[in-house]
Amino acid sequence: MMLPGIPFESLGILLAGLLTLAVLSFVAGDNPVYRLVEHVFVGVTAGYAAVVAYHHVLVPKVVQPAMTASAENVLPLVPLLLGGLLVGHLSRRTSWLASIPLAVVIGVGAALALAGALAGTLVPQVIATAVPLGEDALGMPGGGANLVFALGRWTLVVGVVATLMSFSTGLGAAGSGTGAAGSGTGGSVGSGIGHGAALAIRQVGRGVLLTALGAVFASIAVSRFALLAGRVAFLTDEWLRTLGTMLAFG
Amino acid sequence: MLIAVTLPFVVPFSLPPASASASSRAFYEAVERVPASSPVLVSIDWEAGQLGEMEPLTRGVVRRLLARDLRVLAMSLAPQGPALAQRLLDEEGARLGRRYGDHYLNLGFIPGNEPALVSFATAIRTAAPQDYRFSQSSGSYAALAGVERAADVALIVVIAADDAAPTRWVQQIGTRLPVPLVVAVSAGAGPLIAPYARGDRPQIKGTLIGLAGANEYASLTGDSATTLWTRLLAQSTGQAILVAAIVLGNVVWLGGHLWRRLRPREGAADENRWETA
Repeated sequence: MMLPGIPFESLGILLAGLLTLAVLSFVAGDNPVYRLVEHVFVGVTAGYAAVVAYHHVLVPKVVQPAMTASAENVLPLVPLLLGGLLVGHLSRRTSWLASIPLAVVIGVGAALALAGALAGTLVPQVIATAVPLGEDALGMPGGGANLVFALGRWTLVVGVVATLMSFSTGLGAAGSGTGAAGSGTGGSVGSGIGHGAALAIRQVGRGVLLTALGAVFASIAVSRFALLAGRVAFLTDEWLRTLGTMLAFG
Repeated sequence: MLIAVTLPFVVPFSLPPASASASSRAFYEAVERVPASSPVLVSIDWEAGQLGEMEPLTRGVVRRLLARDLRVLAMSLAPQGPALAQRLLDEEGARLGRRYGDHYLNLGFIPGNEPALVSFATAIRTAAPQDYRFSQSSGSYAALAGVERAADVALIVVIAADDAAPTRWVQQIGTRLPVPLVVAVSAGAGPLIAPYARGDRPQIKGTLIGLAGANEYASLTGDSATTLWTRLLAQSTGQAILVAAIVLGNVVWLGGHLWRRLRPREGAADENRWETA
């Protein structure tokens, strides 16, 4: 479809560029234009999600199957019934009805998430951390030996153990340690050594945690630069070209 | 910072070409191993806000899958994902002469996270009864011929802006099915999915991380990636400025700290005189 001489696509590109510039105006400080565009984005996102939910979820997965339900096959009505019970939230007297579909959703979701986290993350990661640290540590999976590879294995195991211990509240606290149970001079000395060792391990664990957080922060910064580069690429190429074409039309 | 990122788009720079990392090469090899005409499931789990970083990644992967004559079955766990996927698939499909419904299909938005993924894995046509573009029965398309469950596809490709979607795929599908899983994510999610892609038996067979990953993949597939290269330069310039700012800030702080400790305290002589008195 065209406006007089200008395709809608070009208008869309022009509008996208102006909205991008409005968002970038936040660099100069909070301003009404930025606020307006922020509200537009939130509104459009919510509106789009509602349209997708209606046309691509509710109609094909709830309404249309419910139409095919019969006395022999009432299963397609179950999602409609559970969804309908959520309306019970509108009144305090019927709000208990909404607990039924919520219980189903949360129960099934939590069970699957927990089982998945155990089978897909915890167990495989524990197995991956259980690596040889003796003479076998040098042996690489594909064959050959490498000192750097062995150091990597040691770093992995020490880092994981120290990080886990850094979350342990009892370790390193006053009075804890290997000699804490003893009494007299020997017990105090033992307690001091155990306390010092536990503190040192916790410090190593915190160091590992901070390093990991630093890596995540740096990666997120890289990601944001990529987004900014994408917008700048759009403005300097597609938007300026379209603007030039439209000005030529004008 | 804005000026630094804009600079490579205005002033032409050049950098030596980067060699592909082991994880990008593993991703490439996993795709190349799939026999021609096999169905490949592509989950496009990102939204419009991440377009700048995720679009080049997705475009490179989709282009290669279509160029290899694989049947691309797109889906998304994000509401905006199907629309973004459709645009890319149509553009690349038109470029390579591939037809919607025969060579590629958009199964749309699959809501519900974990339960939805399990349902999708066991019965694709029930979880996605209609396609996104024409709202027709998904089973009526040739692209879905012979595919009833996720186990019937030759490869699963997850393209996501954060680690949540790849983690769900690993936990819910990777533990149930023997189908190889490869992941393309933003740079921000890279360290968070790395544990799944490392070790003797990685759960993720290959990864592409951010613009750098997209650039490496383009060089592996022999794609011309001039625009991508400029974006990567802009990203690198921004990174360099950030590093310089952090280093400079720390030097200034350290210098100030040392200056305060080393300089003689004002009024210290007067205090001593009063104490003696």
